Amino acid sequence: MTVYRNAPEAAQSAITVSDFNFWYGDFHALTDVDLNIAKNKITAFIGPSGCGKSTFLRCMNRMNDLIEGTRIEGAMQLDGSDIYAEGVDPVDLRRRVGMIFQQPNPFPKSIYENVAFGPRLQGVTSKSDLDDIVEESLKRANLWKEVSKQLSKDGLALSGGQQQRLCIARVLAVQPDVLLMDEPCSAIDPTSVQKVEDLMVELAPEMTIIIVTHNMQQAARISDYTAFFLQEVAGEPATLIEYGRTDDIFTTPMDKRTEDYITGRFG
Amino acid sequence: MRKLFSRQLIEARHEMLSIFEAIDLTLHDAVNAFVTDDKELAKRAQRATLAIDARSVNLEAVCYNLIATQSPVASDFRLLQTIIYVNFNLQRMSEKVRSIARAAKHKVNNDIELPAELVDLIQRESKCVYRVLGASASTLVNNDLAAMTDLVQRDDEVHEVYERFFRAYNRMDAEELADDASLDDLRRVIMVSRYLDRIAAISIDAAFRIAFLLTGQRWSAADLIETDEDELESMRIPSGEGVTLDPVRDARAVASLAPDEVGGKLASLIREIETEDGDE
Repeated sequence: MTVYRNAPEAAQSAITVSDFNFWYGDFHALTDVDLNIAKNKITAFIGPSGCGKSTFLRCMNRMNDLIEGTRIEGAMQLDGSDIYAEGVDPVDLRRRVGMIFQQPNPFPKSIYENVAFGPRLQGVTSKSDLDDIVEESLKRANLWKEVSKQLSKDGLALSGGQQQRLCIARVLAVQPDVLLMDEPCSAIDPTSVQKVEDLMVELAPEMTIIIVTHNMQQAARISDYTAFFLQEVAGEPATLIEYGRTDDIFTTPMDKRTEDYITGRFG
Repeated sequence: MRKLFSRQLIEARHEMLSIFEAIDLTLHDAVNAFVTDDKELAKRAQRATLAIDARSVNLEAVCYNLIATQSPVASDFRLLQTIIYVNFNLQRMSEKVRSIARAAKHKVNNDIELPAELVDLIQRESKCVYRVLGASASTLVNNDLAAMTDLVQRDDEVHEVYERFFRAYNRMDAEELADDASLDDLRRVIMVSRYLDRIAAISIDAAFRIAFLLTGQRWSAADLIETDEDELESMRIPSGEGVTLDPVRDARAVASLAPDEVGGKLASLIREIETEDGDE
């Protein structure tokens, strides 16, 4: 049974999830997840490898649809609308729910073209409009000062940390409501980690951010809410163990399993 | 890495308890020196408090070092917060014990003779204080939430004797106690009763922090005594290795305390240790 303490109410939430289950073919990966993701706040998903946190994150913009044999049960809503309803266009959903991955993945194009790519697909053709979007997005991603004089430079030529912020700028260019981040800092240096974390905190007042992280200090530093997932027995489905305000989870966890995990004594 | 950290937490907890034990034993010496006019014992007690202070300073540094290097969370962090808080109060207690030792030296140096009634009250008050320290140690060793209401009662006993001491002192004619020149000396000496009263209060304050360690909530003494045992127990939250260590091992850190002063649970743990050691 999941422990909830000071968890967000549905009314304050961007995403609401109830009785959610997920299968990879015959394998029941996630069971009975109920939680609300607070609007314009940062929520961290933590848990050991294989506990389903990334799987759950990818359900939120239907990235798992791309994997054959996956299926879900239960409800997941974005601003009150069913994410899995018939007729929902996954591409449109992914514009509203953007994603940043562990490894920065800029397109092999210029910095400018990386950021302009999404808006172009959405039909923005005016050069001046695109220029404005690119500048605004790079500024919001705290990258403009570093690249404003070299927008034609190949995105892949940037450092790892800069590439990750370029990917964030690329997502911001299509003005998503929700930003999913799957271990966004695990492949970049500490200085860049700090910049990405600062960026997340700056973006949060206008955007719902969900981050999967193995870094407990990162979750404690930047998130407002924390969800702890766990697969207790190999082969059995994982589930949500405890969910609530980050300061509560990291100072007075209510479940022994959460305590053991965050203090590094799991298993 | 966590194994090392766990060991460091346990060592810090043991050092806190061991300092507690050292203060209790030194307090006995300081009070005995005062009552028996033993200047050498007073000097030893005074030196012992300086050694205790050095240990406290070191323990504080260890705790802050662990916070800086290990990024503790949950019960690990609560334990370090608790140790720092208790340790701060141990330093305050040590300072009061030192003042008693100084008063003992002063009493001998200035040939001050207290009326037997006042000396008797100091002895009675000190016995109550020993029991408060013993009960505080027992609370810390056993993670015993229920024992905290008992501590409040014991503090009342100390305070009652303290008030009797001052009532008796006020009743006596100052000239009967000393001439004008030595009245200030006398006042310094009678502060011993006040120091004892403060030591008991500080000890209880320190022991009460166990409630934060075990429940994550900051309780006031008033809240605690109005909460029944079952309710307190239901508020316990999960704790890690440093907090839930085998009490027998924790009791080793305070095994020199007098069993008749520490009371039930800790006394039986100390007996258990003595039996184990005897068997070996």
